[in-house]
Amino acid sequence: MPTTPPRTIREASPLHWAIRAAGVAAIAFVAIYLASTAKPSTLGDITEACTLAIAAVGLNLLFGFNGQISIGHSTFAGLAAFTAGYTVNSWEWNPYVSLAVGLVLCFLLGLALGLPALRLKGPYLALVTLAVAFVWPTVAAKFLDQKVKASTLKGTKLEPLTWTGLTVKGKDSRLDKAIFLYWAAIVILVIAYVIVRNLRKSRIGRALVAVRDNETAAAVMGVNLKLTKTVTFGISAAIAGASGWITAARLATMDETTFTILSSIKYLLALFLGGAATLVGPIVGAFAYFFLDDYLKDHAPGWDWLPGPLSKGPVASFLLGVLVIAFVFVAPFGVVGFVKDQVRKVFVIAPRPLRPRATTAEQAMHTEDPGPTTDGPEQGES
Amino acid sequence: MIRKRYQLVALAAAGALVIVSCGSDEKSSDTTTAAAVTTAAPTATTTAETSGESTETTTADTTAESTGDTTESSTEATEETTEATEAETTVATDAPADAWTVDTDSCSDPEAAEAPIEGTLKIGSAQPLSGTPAVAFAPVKDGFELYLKYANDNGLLEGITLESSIKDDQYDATQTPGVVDSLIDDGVNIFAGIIGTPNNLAVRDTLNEECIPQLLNLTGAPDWGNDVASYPWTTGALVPYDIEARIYATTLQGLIGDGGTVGMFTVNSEFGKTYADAFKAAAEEAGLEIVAEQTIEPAETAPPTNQVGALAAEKPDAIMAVPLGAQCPTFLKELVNAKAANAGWEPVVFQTNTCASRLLISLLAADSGNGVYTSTNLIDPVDPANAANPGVKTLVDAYTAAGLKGDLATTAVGWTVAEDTVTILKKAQESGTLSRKSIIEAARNLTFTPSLALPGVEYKMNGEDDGYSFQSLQVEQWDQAANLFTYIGTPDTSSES
Repeated sequence: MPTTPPRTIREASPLHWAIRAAGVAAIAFVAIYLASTAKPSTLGDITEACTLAIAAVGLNLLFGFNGQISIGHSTFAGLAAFTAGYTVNSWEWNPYVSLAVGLVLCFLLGLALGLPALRLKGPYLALVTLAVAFVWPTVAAKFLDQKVKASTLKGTKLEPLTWTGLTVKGKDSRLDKAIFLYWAAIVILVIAYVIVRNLRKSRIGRALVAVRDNETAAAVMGVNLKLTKTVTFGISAAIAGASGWITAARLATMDETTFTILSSIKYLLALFLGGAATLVGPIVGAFAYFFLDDYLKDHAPGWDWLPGPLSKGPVASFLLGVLVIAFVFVAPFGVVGFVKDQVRKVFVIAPRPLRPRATTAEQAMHTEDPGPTTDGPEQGES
Repeated sequence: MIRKRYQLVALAAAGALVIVSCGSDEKSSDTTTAAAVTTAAPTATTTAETSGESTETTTADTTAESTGDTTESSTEATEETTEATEAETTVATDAPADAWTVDTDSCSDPEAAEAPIEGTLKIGSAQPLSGTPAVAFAPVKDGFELYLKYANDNGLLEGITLESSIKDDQYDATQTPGVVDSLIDDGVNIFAGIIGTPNNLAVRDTLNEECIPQLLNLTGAPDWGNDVASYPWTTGALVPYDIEARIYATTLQGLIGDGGTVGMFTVNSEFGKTYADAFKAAAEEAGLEIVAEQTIEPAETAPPTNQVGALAAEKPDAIMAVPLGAQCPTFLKELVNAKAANAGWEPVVFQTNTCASRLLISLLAADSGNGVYTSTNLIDPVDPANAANPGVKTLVDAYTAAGLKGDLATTAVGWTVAEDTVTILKKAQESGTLSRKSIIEAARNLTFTPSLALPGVEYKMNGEDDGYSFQSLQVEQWDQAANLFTYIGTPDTSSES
């Protein structure tokens, strides 16, 4: 316990707004600074981290806020990616239209998968989604011909919209393309974040959390369980699909092994590393996971004394797994949960007082998300 | 409570990652491990050796071709004799005037592609260094670096120091573009020996747009040589799978005769399908009858009991197997079980040379690899009978001096890819300027015999006319008791163009 009591900042007070604005400005500055100075490979890495972050943000809506686990989100990313590749290459669709169509398909498949989720919980739901993730590569292998599978958006008419002022031709085309995809990924990530944030902060978000914490109580309070759960699954799936579209734009080839169960596990790990049920957690986690993985791949030692296969090369994946396990013990609510705990010792943000005309029922629903820690409210996007 | 649930799920996910890193075979390999790669020799033996085929048609004048009159262009093609008469230090060359040249106009930065490379030349590659496939592939990197060190120590390239930067893509094609991008930013001049068909495909467009040579891809997909015009900057190191399939069909006909029955077991991927189509076509030509076809999913790790059972039910005279990576030994083990259950059924078994490393045919397969036919084009450095071979001796000395422990035959693959690369660079240097342009032109107008190549096997590329480096294979049979391969006949060189 801190010796001095933490300073209290009122939510939505000028100071609180200033902190939030400074945070957003800092992030925007870093993003613009990187776009103008970084090498194509760095931009490519950030783009890849963003695709992971987008999927993790989608999964967070489903698992973090609504309590439904999915190990099948790689399927949605794959569906949107192949939809884009196929429609653009075979039917010469506009790549942006293909994105929209991919998202709709993902939403529908998500709805369908949400149906068993109405009856299944916890490990049983995990198993159903696991099966979907396993089936997807086989379906892709069986029903898509080689041309379809190999089709991506790379080398197609995917070009920046003219009003953005970006071009991808000429001497620095590699850099220009990297910058374009970088911005595309960031814009989609921001949109996904804003969607999830606004959902979370609204009446629907409170319903989601209520369902997660106690379905019976939520139903008693008038939450439509079926609608809430299936639609959440659909939206979450569509967000994961957007990440698949970026992948299709980034890669020159895809096949059935591009979106396997391993991708789903990565989404989950990113979510936990950053902190489930926090708004920025999945984004922080995705960047942390991606760059940790990248670092370990370049610097992991080759340990000869390890048994079997591990001794044959650097032990990057093994170390990564062990590190994540260790981290989960130290900070069960991820990086964001850990940082929040530390920040809370210095200052706390007091929630806006309820409007006087709020009814008792609304007050009950207003009870803040116990989320990562049970002792405090959300802290905006700081 | 919620805390506990998160902890549990996170643990499970992290645990899954660890398990994946240790065991499961999400993406096994379709590149050749040890056996299939042929390569170049230490420069001492890299004399021009076109003497085997003393004449060679060089590409027609590009102007003649542009008239659209192909007949004329072929008659105008200079019949040129490239005798192996050149000095020890030179490599066989075609006359520069007629040689294939690359057009840099479509490069994103033509000047960079023609800029001279001086001092240090950086060679980049993406290979699986961690994860399951690394088990089979890690020695490739050792061999590659070993030869570059040998080349630097012996000053094989005058005034040039070779540096290599091989990064890990875990045999995951989604990671290869990132790896290659960062290597380009690090100033890599050329790429060589990237492992895996999808991995190479994933970066082919970028490297061709940037006009950076993507030499000697360690995969046998026919893609690397069948469209030189569209992808002039990309070349392969392995014998194309369709040639391999045809050689097996021909050999099989000799073993089981006309009208012999064959059962096929292939992996359900692009690699397996290419292979299966090529084999079916060749089998029909050879008068063989395909009586059963079974497939396995690329990610499958369980033994193919049902598939092998279905094959056994047809009792074919022979089996052509094209599994992936760790599926090779599980297939062989299942086959032994099936043979035990069907007394008297003794099929001739052919397995793709991507399964031909000692690890896959012997160590992991127990005794079940005995008698299996496969192929190679490289001298087996493990065979004591080859110990006196100068190429093998150079390799083994360097291997021992460096204290390496990986599979020697697989190390030889990396060694030979580096040897090919250095030979190409040497020829480019001799052309006057060492640049990315001259390097790819050297690679595509080159004939030489690598130090570890089997008799008759040579690196031969000729502009758009011959886009494949190696096209000859030696059929061999695994002898478990001797822990060696026995050669069947002599190398099949009929596919050379």
